[in-house]
Amino acid sequence: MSKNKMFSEKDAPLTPAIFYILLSLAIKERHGYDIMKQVQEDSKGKIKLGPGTLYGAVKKMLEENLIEELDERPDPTLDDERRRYYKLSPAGRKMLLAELERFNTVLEVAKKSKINIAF
Amino acid sequence: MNQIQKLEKYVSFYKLLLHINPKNFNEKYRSQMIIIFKDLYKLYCSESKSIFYFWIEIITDTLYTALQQHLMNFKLIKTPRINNPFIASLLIFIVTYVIVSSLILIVNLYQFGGLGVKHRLSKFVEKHHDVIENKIFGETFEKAVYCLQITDVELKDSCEQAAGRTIGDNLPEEELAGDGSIGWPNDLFFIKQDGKAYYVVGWDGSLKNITPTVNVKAITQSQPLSSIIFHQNCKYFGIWPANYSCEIYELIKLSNENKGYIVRNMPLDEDSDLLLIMISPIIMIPSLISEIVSRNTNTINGIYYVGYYSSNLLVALLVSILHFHFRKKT
Repeated sequence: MSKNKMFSEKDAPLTPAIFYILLSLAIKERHGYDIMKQVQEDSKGKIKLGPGTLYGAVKKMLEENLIEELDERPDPTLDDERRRYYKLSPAGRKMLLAELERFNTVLEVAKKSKINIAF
Repeated sequence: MNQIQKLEKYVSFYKLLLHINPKNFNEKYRSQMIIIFKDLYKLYCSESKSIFYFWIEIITDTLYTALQQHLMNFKLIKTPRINNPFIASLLIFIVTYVIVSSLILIVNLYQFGGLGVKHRLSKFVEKHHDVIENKIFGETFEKAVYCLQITDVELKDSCEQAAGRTIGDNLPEEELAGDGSIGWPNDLFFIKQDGKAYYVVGWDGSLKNITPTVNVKAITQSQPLSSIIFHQNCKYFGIWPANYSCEIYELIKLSNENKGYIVRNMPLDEDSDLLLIMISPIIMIPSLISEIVSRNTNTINGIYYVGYYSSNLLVALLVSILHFHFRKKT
């Protein structure tokens, strides 16, 4: 565990960008551009990461052991540039599940209060 | 220029831009950021989006990342995290505003103010040390002392003029005359300490005993920087009548263990007042707008002048807006 621990399972919530990056890696390993596109799609365009902000977030998450860095290899669907892949670490998966659980709890409270939520 | 050539050109520029990131961040992520840059460019082209907005996004992304990474590296001010992004941005606005205003003050102080005067005076004295010691504190003072003894007013007058001419004949005072807010150095005085007494000779060649007005305790070997920077009212010799001015001096050691002081007067200048610099955008921006509306021919100069004195507001706004925008995202 790093000295300057910014996240913990109990501390919440995660910033939107970190949450969506974790969510994108929950499905499969991805490289930077893939993470960027998935985050934009999942957040319906609300979170738009640039190269700098993406790797700033990746750096933070690596320091906090939420993700792991894999090898560099080309993406067969794109060009032959060697792209660095990332995957969710066990700690990152736990963090993501804790966050989703929190959302669930909030939704339950909203349903009980009979707040009109359009799905 | 085809798409590939354009992309190569843009990538070269982006690589230059990435130099503002900390070295450790670039070492790890530079190559991957360049790959994503190319991907984004291709995406923008495929969706026929404006290249102008592409560059706005890239530049703001790079500036924000560089600032964030540098701050993390230097572990600046350990403050508790402010959760409200608006309040955090407001604080950043205030801090940036003060920092940039201080930078403007420092530039002005050097160009037009006390620091520049002190620097030029020191160089002048160092360059003409022997002439100042012998011709001014020696010959000129001797002549001025002699003139005091003359009772006839007209004769005394011409004697003093001759004494004053010695200064002009021996010193290239035009070296000092180039400052922004001080014209001809008729504010230049020579003060000789003779035992416990202090005598001043100016350009008019007249000698005066100023011992009662000299603040002996305050005169140190080297004039404190704080008095030059905050020169609202620093009087060491009391030779200048104006209230808001600072006597900037340079010490020269004479024979017989006497001391000589070469003194210039620095009046209060709004260019060197931090408070005025901080409120200047509020005054200047409306006056620039009215100049533009009235189609004044000096508007270009006006824009430059207002731009300089509003840079504190403009930079603070840019930094705080960038912070607010990216803080909400990440």
